[in-house]
Amino acid sequence: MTNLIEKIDNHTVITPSDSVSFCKEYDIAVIGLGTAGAISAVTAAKYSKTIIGIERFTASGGTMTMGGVGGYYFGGEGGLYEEIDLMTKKDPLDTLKCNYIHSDNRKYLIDTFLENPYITLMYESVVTGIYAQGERIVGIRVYNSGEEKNYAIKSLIDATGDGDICDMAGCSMSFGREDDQSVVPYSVVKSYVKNHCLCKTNHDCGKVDQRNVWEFSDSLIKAYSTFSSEEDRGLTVRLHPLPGIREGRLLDGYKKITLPDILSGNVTEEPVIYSYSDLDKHGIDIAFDTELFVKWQILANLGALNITVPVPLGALVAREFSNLIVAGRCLSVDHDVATLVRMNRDMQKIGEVAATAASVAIDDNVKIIDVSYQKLKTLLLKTGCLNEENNKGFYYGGGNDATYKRQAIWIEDKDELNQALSTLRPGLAIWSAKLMGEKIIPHLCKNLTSDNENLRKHSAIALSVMDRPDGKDVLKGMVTDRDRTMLSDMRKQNKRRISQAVMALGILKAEDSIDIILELSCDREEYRHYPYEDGYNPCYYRTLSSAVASLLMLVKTYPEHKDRVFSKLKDRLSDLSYIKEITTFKEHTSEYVQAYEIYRRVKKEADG
Amino acid sequence: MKKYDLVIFGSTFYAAGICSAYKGSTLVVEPKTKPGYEFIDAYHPGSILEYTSISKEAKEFSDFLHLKKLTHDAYILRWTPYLSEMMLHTSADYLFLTDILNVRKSDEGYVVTIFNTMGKSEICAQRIIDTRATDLGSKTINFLTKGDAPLSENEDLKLIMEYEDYSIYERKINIDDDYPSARKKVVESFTYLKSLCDNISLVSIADEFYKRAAKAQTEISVGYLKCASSYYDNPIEAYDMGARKGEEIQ
Repeated sequence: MTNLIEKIDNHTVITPSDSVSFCKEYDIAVIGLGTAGAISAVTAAKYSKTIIGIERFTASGGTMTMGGVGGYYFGGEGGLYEEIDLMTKKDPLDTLKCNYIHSDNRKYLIDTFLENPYITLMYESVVTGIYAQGERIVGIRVYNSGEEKNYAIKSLIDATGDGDICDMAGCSMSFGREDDQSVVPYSVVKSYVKNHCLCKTNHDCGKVDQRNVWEFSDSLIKAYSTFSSEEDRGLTVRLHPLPGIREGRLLDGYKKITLPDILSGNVTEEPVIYSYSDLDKHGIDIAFDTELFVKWQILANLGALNITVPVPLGALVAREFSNLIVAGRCLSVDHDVATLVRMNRDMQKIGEVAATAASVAIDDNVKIIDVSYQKLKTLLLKTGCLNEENNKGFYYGGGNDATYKRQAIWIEDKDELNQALSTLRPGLAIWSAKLMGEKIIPHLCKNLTSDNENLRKHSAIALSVMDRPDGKDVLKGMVTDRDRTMLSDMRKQNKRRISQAVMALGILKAEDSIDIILELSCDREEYRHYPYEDGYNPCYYRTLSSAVASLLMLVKTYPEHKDRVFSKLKDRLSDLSYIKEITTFKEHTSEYVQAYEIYRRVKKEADG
Repeated sequence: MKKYDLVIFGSTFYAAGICSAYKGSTLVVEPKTKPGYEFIDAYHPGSILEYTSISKEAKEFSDFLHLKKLTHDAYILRWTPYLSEMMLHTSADYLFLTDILNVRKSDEGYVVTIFNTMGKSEICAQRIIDTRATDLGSKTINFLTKGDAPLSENEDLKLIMEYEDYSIYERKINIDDDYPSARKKVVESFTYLKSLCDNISLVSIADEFYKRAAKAQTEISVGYLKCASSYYDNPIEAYDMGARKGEEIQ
């Protein structure tokens, strides 16, 4: 029995459709020819599979073409995409000097790679329905040039980025932070010519739920309008039409990669790629994130540490259908890991993996999840897509600053631990203490009476990461003394000890710290102690958001303080004048939106 | 089902013009992500400087652009933020990334079936104006260069804008050419220009075709018009004509 699966009024609707006729048959449908999907199509053609590629925009390549993002930040090398990279660098179009990968060169080369007898492309097209027989997808309904047509397929790669097809098919998915479904901000990129060079600038546009097209459309117009107040940067070439969405729907696939598993070393032994990135800092409201994330990013100040994530095939495969695989950022990870597994290099490799697995599944007549790992591994090793050298573990990046670049090796020796805790780069030691577990607690407690200020305070923070209240008084002292010392674990965006202390007290559920944290939150002069950076005061944002997040944790545990705390916080925040202490940017900018988020969260919690 | 007095297909300059003048409830439905793409992203400025607006709304838009010193043809590439600002001042709703699958008549006017990431849904409209270019007179793909601006002897390749050492060339293509084959033709044309003069660099190729519509207005049925924005020479003219249409149907 064949069913047509559609999404109608935001719900999946299934209609018997035995009389459907298909106008043509393909081995693999690649839906979305973006960063991952374009590579999927090229890969599947190499395995002699016939492909129908469906793309909403006017060119393939996604973020690196229509999105205007022209460089690599993280991710591991290796795989078929490198062939395109090498040719792009040769500048086949003889373009104007460019300080990144020229998107037109890239478009032209991807066009060239996709010009293949195995591949049929449909631009400005969308998939409006799926045909399924039991757990097999057997066809797609495509809207193109004013009409809907049906095509039979053997396998489907959802490379829409946001898992649109999986969602339409009714697959289990999640979106954003668990408590408020908020995702990392998106951005829009502008290209312009200045001093005989094609340059780009990125506007972070705040958080949006792009699944709600009404909300997203409104946000886009506001985002474009923010470019009008920008200083004259030379001749504008374009605002790139593909918004830079960093996080969206996440599949609940056969294997879910989670941050607790990554940080405890509980990772797959059958990786298909090693992804590599830092935990994203575009979402600056990290104080409201999961406790583990807060411990890593704020208490241990380890945001600069790049993390390798071995990705298993099961993280790409939908449980609901035997021949549906995703290629792109919508793979099966939790919200925290989503920021680790989204970089361009890694997404291109994921595209290669998805097409390789789908091709092998067709050849061997098995479900995608049952594809032989050995066979897949051999194929991926051959192209370099899977490369053991990319398994870098934990690594300090540091951009061009060599003083920060190094492998992060957890400390196991007490003296070494104390030495590191005595510096302003205690992050590695704080997390090492957590990994050392119970046995290190007496040692850390002893440090709490040390004359060495750094050792004493950082030991208190390390204990709080282990949920131990022993250093509570030291932490409280850091708040009352307004210890604004800036740590230096990272090249930038380092935390100040005061924000660490308030967060730690919240995590420790220290009831007797409510008043001092409330006092800090309501101090309208506190922001003056932090430097503005071009109309933005990130350090004060971190202090205020940490204090408010901490209070929200505390009143959850001690509801008897709720009325008093919310009353004072509302007095402090409700006229929104505090936003000016954080940023002078316009209403629709990412900085403004995230500053506003502090009040929104308080109001939401206060109003129940 | 949401109901609107007017549903406009295409977030074009013509559509923005209608929204600036029309006071009824309005929804603009657009498959793409940006407003005004039919001129801005197609790199087709037309003769902006030579056009004098007639409607109050278009004059306001022109004055706004004058104030920002953005009226040279070359600055059309910078217009998206300003057009967006104008749109924010209207009461219209906008739906990007949304395709129009079907239109059918109903007792109250029309029912439009749309599709986006929220799936299929229906919108009720008393009146529809389709501002997209559907009946094409010609199609080009335009590109921006820097350096010298050699004149082409090839009929399919025209120099349409010069500003300082920037130029926009218009490459005529077949109506049924797709984007990859059009981009290939740009590469051929640029190679030809380069053979005429070595001091020229390709800055970028337009993301959108410039689709010149064959007719200004077609009535599909009562209350359902096709008024293609790209029938007009330049974006201000399209905005002006849209504003006048908005007043007319008020």
